[in-house]
Amino acid sequence: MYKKLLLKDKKVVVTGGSKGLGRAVVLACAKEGAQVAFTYAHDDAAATKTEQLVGSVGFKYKISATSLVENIKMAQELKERWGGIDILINNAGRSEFLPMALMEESDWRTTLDLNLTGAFITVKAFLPLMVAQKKGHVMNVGSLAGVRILAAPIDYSASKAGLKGFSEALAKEVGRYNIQVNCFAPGILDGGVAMGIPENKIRDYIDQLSIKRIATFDEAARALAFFVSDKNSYMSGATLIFDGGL
Amino acid sequence: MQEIKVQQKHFLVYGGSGHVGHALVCALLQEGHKVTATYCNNKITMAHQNLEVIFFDMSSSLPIVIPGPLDGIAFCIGLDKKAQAIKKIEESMAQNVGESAHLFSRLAVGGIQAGLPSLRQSSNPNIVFIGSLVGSKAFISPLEFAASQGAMNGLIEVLSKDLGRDKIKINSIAPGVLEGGASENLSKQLKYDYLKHCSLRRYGKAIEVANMAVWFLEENSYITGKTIVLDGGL
Repeated sequence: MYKKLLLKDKKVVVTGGSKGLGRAVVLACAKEGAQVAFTYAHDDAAATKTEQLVGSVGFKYKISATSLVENIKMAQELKERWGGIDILINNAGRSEFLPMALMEESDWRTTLDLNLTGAFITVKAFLPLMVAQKKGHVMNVGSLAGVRILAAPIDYSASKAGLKGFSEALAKEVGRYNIQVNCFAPGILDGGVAMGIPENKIRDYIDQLSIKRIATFDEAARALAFFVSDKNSYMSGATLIFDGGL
Repeated sequence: MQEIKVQQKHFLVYGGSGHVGHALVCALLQEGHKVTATYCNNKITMAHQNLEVIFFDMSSSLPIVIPGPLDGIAFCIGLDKKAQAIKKIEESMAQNVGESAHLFSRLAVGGIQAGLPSLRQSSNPNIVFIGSLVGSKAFISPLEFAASQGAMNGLIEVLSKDLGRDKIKINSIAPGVLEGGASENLSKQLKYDYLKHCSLRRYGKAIEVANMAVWFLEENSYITGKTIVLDGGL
């Protein structure tokens, strides 16, 4: 039995795609038939590794998600190369496990700048391509920490809650152009920002889950690939909680 | 590469003759799966080598037992036409409100109990309810229906905790106004208001709900206890 590819010939941009969930999303989209451009800010070795893994259908851009100028330049290049883009996945983010007492204003601003303002800037750069073709899907990668009460860093939780509101309001604004905007909110995954969580807290978290295990990057990415596909054509302004039943 | 190799699975669809139920049965068959589908008022007339059809009345029939592995159950049960009429609270019968919620819950619990031994034999079992937006967002609808949908959302959250030990995921898909089906009974004004507030400025389609249900039945390995709203951004 064979199944058609979900993202055949789709043009996808993934921010923060060099490692962790971002890399898994790049690979999942490519496996489903998409061409993928991914961005990264610092880790050249990780980005090269992702590029090797994805093969000829993927390529990297070293740009910051917080630079409007760089993102607009990338959008123009992709317009020339691809003619437009179909899907934007805002995944770039950071987290540092600091309690309120130890968090400096600069820590707060850095997290909000990348996690929330970065999504705004990327959308600002790529949305005109989707509006022009009157079709598109923006998926903002939020977090369970943005929708539930969790013992998570306040800057991270605030930024991810902001992404949920951003997704809802943007969905209202651009729905008339047949552009869907949704938010994907995973719980703790096996790596990435979760690496800083103490082991006893991870155990407590797993105890509360219906599924009794932490999800892999790969299964989160496969779910995300479906949710940005044409098979999911009537969802907009929604937040998809991917948490194993907390 | 144009296609990915997948394994044939077996699904049970309660209410396979309804608007969304029929679309779901067709979509699952198109994917190459085996489907056992039930009907009550409208007989399923299509024939397919992978389709088994069973009469089932939610108010009187015993839940279906599938021998051997079962990969998922979908509940696509609606209310009869009489119960779809929108009434003011003064005109509604409190007894009817309770009865609808009771019928849906009884079918859900009974259907899952009957299916458990077979679901446990699957490597990735899933249960999906096709509910409605009215269980999650404020929308004018028959009180009986709204109460039953809200009750189902609560039931799904609790059941997800219980069923998780067997790796069974249970979720609900809550569509907004669709083209055709029960939405045909809504007033013109209500449908106009819906479009005015819907981000995508259109009604949904039965196949769009079916596509979501197919993914949850076939692929979902981690989402459970959730209500997935499909309303075009209301």
